[in-house]
Amino acid sequence: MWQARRTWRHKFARFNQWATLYSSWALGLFPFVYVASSKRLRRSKWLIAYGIIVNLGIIRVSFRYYDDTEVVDLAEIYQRNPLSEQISQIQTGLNLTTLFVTLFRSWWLSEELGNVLNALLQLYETEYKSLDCTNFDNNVIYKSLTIWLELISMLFLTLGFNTPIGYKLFLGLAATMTNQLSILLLGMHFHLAVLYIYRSIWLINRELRMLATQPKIKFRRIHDLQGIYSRLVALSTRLASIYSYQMILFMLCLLSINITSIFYILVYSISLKKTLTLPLVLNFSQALAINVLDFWLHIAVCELTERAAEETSINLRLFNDRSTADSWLDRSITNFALFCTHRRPRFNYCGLFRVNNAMGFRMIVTCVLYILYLVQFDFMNL
Amino acid sequence: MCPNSWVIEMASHKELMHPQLNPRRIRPVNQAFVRPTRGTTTLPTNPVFADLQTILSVLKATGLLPIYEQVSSFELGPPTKPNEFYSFFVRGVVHALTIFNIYSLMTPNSAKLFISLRETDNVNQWIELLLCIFTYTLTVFVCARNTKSIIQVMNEILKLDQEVLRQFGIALSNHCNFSIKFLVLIAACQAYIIFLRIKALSGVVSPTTYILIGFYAIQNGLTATYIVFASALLRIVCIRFQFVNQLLNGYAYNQLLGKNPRQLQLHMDKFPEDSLYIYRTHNRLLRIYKSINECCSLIIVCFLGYSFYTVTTNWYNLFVQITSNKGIISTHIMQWCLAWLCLHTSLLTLLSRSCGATTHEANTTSQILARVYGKSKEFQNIIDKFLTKSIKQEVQFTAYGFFAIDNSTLFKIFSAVTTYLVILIQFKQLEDSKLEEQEVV
Repeated sequence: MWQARRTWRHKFARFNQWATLYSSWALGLFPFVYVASSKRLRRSKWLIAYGIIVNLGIIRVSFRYYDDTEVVDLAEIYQRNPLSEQISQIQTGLNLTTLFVTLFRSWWLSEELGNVLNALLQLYETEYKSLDCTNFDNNVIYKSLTIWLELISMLFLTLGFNTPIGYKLFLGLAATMTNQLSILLLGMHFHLAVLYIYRSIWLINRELRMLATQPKIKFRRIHDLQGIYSRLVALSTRLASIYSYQMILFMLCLLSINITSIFYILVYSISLKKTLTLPLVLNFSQALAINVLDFWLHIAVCELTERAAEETSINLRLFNDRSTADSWLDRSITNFALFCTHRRPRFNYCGLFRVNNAMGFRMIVTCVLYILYLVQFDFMNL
Repeated sequence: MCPNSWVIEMASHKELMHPQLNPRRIRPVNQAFVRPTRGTTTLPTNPVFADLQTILSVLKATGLLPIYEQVSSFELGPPTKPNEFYSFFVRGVVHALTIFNIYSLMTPNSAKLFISLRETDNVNQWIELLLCIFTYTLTVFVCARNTKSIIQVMNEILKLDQEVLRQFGIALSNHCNFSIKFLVLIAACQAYIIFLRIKALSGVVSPTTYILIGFYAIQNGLTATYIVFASALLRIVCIRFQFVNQLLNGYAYNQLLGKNPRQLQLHMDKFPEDSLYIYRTHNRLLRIYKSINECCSLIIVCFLGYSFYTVTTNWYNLFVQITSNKGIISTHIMQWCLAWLCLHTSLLTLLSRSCGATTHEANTTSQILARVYGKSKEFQNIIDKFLTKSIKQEVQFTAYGFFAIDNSTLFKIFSAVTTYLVILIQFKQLEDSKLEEQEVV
């Protein structure tokens, strides 16, 4: 039974990866083609040009019908509370910046990204055969479900507030949703790349645990594992530098949306003295929950990789209680252990902060504080 | 507990396997490790974790822990089918009661529950209630999911004990008598709070209100009991770490001063073999520590959040009482707040202290190892083997990776409480001035 369930999960995860690939190609966000003869990815300038044209077109459409997608209730809130309008303008600016930076950086740095992906491809084709990592599959599924949920939640939010649904609204909404999908898909690329690195480290850990129980170990294998580990560390650093700006902006967007939406609800319920109906509360809370989930998945995957790297150090300790006369083996294990202590996969964005659970927790706490400050700042007007 | 006052004589493993041949070496001078050895190996009925029996039975009865079978005095088996069904049933009842309570909180009937000071305070109490319900429900869910791993952790500890008993003739004690004291404290505080609540109720009280109050107290009490249990587990692990450290300390420089070279040679000859045992035990302890962390971290995070909120709101209530009534505090509110503060502060202290102590012991091992008398190249290699793998490898008990729990957590929580208290007080002042403004207009 367990076997069956695992394969089902594995298949679903694979399906999601394929779906990501094809939708990224369709939107021109993944400017690579697979060359079967050399088994490598090749950057295609045509795909980049196609991506630029498609995305700029969609952005133009969404600008054109921006006013039609405006929510009626929000206008009321802005009228009551001018501060919220100013905040919302800043918010829109931030969103636009994120969109442009994310799209253009992904095209500009596509060569470097291609190198990283090729390195990962090479690693996978030479080293790993069995790939039944539950955490990997789960995270792929969660992330792709979140993308769907984000889109559906946006649909519900806009349609829930705007009663007259017309052609213009529909077109504007579709364009905005496609824009959002682009950003989410680019986030998914990063997510998947990190997960591939995680799975490699997980496989190293599994092999180390297996080796620790064996009576005779070839020290060369330990050397090889150390080599793979060091390549993975280097890859994670490169990956973080490619995606640093995008991810910082993306996280900033999610957090600021959460802060402002809670503030809107407060203004709506306290200042305007409107009763919060159950559909409204549900609609609001689903949007908030999905945003937080998306944010947290991003943190969780980085934490997962860091944890796996810590696990490597712990697994190396398993070799402590062997009384081996093989000094080469001892030396290679010591080398590996020392390497692990000095270099670990870390996702450090522009040197500003390291992404892991501790950082995520601090961000959430800061958000709570900012909501309080915002309410205090505008208390007299509430 | 001064670690340096303990001396444990050690011998090589070959000797250790046959202690009866060499009775001189079983000399557990260290009384702290010794439990009355009456029939520890012969009577399989001797319950494991004797110090924890009370708290274990409370948790078993409420479905938070599985009602495991005791196979021998060093092994636990999975629960039998009827017992498993019982735990399942209890959990079902708990969830049903929770849903009922949330429903009755929505009805106007519950309005009487809140000792109304002002509008915002009622909101505070509401959130507190919901947080409590959430924490307890999460505890039940996580416990239900972790039944296997909890039994595994206990079995690992017992296996370790068994090995220690076989090799060193020492039965490690647990020192968990504090758990009963805390159980009494929790029960007393909760009973007192129920009493205060019922005293404050006025008018006709429906039975649902009593159920609400009673179940609320039980929820609080059980979550707190689980925290005490987690602390007790940590204490047990801490004592094992201490034992390992003591073994190692026998080879340290300062222990070997004054011995003549021949004695020294004899003593150090056992080191390579003992070191293997020590390393293995340390690894196993680390694994146990990690699995305890994985089992409890979500519950602990939630409890810390709930505790933080409760402590903050109670301080705030006290403050409001002092300022609004010109220094005269109503005794009712004061008792109420103090009971909550006492309960939560003591639990927070217990948790952070036991985490801190265990973490400290786990990290001390490499420090002691660095002091081991390693004159020859072989000894140095053995020592280096451990030390190189301990560089930058501080062991930590984390709350789901959010932050490390040790003594500093207590400080952090109380500084955060102060910050939020200031913010809340500012809010109150803003609220007052806004009210005044509206009155003038």
